[in-house]
Amino acid sequence: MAALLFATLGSVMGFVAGSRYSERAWQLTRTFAVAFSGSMLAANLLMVYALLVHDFTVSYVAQVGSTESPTIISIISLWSSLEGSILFWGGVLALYVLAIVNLLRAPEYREYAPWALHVMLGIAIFFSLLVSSIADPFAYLDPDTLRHDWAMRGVAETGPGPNPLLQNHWLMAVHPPTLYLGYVGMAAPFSLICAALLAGRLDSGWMTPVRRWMLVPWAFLSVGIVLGGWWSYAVLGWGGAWAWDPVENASFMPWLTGTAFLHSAMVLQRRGLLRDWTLTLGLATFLLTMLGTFMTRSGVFNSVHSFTQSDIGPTFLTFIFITFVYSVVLLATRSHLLDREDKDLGALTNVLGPDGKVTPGSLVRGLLGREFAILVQNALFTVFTFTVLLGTVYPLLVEQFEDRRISVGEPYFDRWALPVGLAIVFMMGVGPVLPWGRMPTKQVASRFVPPVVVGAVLTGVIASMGMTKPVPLLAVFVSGFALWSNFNELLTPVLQRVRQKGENPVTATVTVVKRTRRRFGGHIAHYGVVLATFALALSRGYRVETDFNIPVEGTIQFQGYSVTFLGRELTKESHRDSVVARIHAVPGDAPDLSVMKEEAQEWSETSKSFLRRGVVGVVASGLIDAVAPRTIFEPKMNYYVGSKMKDPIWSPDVRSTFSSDLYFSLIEVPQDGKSVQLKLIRRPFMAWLWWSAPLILLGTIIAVWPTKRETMGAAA
Amino acid sequence: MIALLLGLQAYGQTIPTPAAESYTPQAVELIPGVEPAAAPPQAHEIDPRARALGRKLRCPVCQGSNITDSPSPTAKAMFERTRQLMAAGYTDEQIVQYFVDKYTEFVLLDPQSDGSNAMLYLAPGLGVGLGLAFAIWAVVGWRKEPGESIVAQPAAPDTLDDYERRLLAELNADE
Repeated sequence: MAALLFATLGSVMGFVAGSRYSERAWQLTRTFAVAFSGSMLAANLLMVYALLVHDFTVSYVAQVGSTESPTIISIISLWSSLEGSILFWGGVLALYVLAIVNLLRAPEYREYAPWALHVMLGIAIFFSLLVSSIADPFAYLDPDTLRHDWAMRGVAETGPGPNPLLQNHWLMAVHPPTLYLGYVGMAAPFSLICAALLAGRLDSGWMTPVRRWMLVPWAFLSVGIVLGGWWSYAVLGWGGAWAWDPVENASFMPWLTGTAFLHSAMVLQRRGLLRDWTLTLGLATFLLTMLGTFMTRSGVFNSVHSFTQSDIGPTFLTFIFITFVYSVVLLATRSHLLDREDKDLGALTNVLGPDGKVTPGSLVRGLLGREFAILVQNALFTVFTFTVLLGTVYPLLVEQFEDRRISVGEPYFDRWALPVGLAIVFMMGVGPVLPWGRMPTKQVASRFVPPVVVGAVLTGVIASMGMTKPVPLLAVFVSGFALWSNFNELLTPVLQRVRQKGENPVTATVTVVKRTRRRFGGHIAHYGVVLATFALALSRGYRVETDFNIPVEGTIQFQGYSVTFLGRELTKESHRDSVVARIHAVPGDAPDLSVMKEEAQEWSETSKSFLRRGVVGVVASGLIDAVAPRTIFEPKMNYYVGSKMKDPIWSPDVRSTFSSDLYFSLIEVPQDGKSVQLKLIRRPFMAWLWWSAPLILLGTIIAVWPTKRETMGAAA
Repeated sequence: MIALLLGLQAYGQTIPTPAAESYTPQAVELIPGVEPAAAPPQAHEIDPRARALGRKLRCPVCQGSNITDSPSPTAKAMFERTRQLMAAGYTDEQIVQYFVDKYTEFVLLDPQSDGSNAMLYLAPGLGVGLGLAFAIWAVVGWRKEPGESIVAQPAAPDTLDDYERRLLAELNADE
């Protein structure tokens, strides 16, 4: 249907790459960029339409569509399988291209602009090619052949529907696009950095958009990762959020290098140092996202995320290789050109020698300087990335060269992640306290004592609750330390304004935040990391888990809760059948059976009314639960109609409060219906982990929001 | 906040392990030619120990999951076998060896550190070492800087933005 559109698209792209000099060519490039975005987005919309009307002559629809799927499932099928997800990748890229085109309209970016679009559209060529050739989702299928094929494979007449794992939870409508916005978005800083190298200059005016466009996809990536963990927790039924699966690692590595970039870019902008290193991190981030896409999509790795396996691998590897060589060559041959031009970066600290020669000041001017802290932080992130990369690809290497198969899994990664992660969070507390340059030694005590005290108090509180294992406690201490040192950075100037100018605290806070958006946004994002550290430390360190076989109306005791199995029922929806176990759970003693049954009745009515209100209802019921947890829980086993997977999908239910989660997962339902096999897990402070995502997002929004001063500065 | 903390008090109590949480095995088939190296453990010790050990073993037919957490029948069977062998008094090492003999070292999620696998442990160590070396180099470079000119401009006021200057001013005022 739309194959024609893509053929033209490919040729348009080819033209663009050539036309990147004169003013007219620049106009043309922009027009083509917009044309690319327009047609790519149109293709995405067309596919959504095809999915909605279940046009099975479109090969992709035949692969994932089902007339039994609810509308929302049909829409999200767009990214549920290989071809569609590549198309969606292209669609997201189109959005970023539009944003960058808009950014580059500013006259002061004129020198970089054509180069940036050149690189960005180069990436676009690759994805357009994929969509129009080996991963063409629009290929025409003859209805008769298709029906025959379905009959052969035992697929229902109504179509197979997307992968059941994707249909099982509303998070699947949110997690993949968020992650894609993060992954694909890394093409933006990549292009902007390449543009600086190609143009042979880099000034602080250019670093501002580079940082900003790293920050945007970085935030999406952060949120996407947390959402992915939440999805794993809410769907996979094993009660965990992260398993160091190759695909999880693939999303984590660019996050690490991106985070390192954001910090070393501060050194670059202020001090004019670490330039090549910072650029390398930026380029590596995009390469790692491409590697991540490859890992998810090629089927090389054995992972819960390998939803699709195909022959797209070699093409992808070639592209990664080309991009890699391109980056290395650019860095090697052009970075010295930047030396002439970047004098305004860090101009304030450059040392003017007696002979009139300008040299940058030395990088580290004291162990108690922020430069040194960022240097340590960067080193930690790099080692972390490298370790994760090594552990992820090592089994493949061994298989290639030694003809044996080994695994590298959770225990290995945990062993490295624990010390490195703790060191990183610790540095996150140290860095903000230190000034640029050097802190006078006598200030050390006054600035480091309060965070240490807060860390110690928090540790004491947790220990007094009976959680006394040393490693989680150490993590709690580090969280408290980092929390206060970041909080104090906001508090001090606010208090100062209140005292000196007599402002009321609210106005003072607003003023401070307004004046130092980027810094303040960074602190908020740090709080998110603190929350995650705290939650992970205790929810992992004090996880308790057991399997129970409970007869109907039987009650068992677990971790101070009375858990009663009230009975099970079968439910039918158009796209799935479910076995639902109705569980009653309260802390302390269980009430009479009749009371419990009444509560169950009540719950089934309320839950229906919440569901009727859609997302608002779901969020509302979640908030109510956190304050006054419900007593009825309904873990399920879902069987998807028409799916190739005959095994059921677990669908756990969670009693989530501020202090702990109680997790119910139905693992076996004997045929006779007289009992049920239930996995019960208790994880303290688990829910806090998810709150790190909104904090990071909020921090980024505050940091990225354009300020008046910045707009004026950019125009000057 | 206080209410929150009060709500958390429940953690202080150690909760007695109910009978359901302890594991009572059926008759156990021993590993041929291998004697259990330890006395059979207490019933309630088995389940947590098996879960911890199971997280280090990969279910060979699943997609990278361990045998404690995977829902697949193979994983469940392997986990059950782990519990049985533990109940019979086999040590963790013996049980791991049993599975390696049966399914090759592919089942080890925590790879052995011998042979070429040593790289997995040496390389990150090397990275840490390089990082340290660079840090020392940077520090030495700073120490050698002629005349410590930086100290002459206290905390280099020019590098500070308004906010930092205010912060520093205030700190100095405190002293």
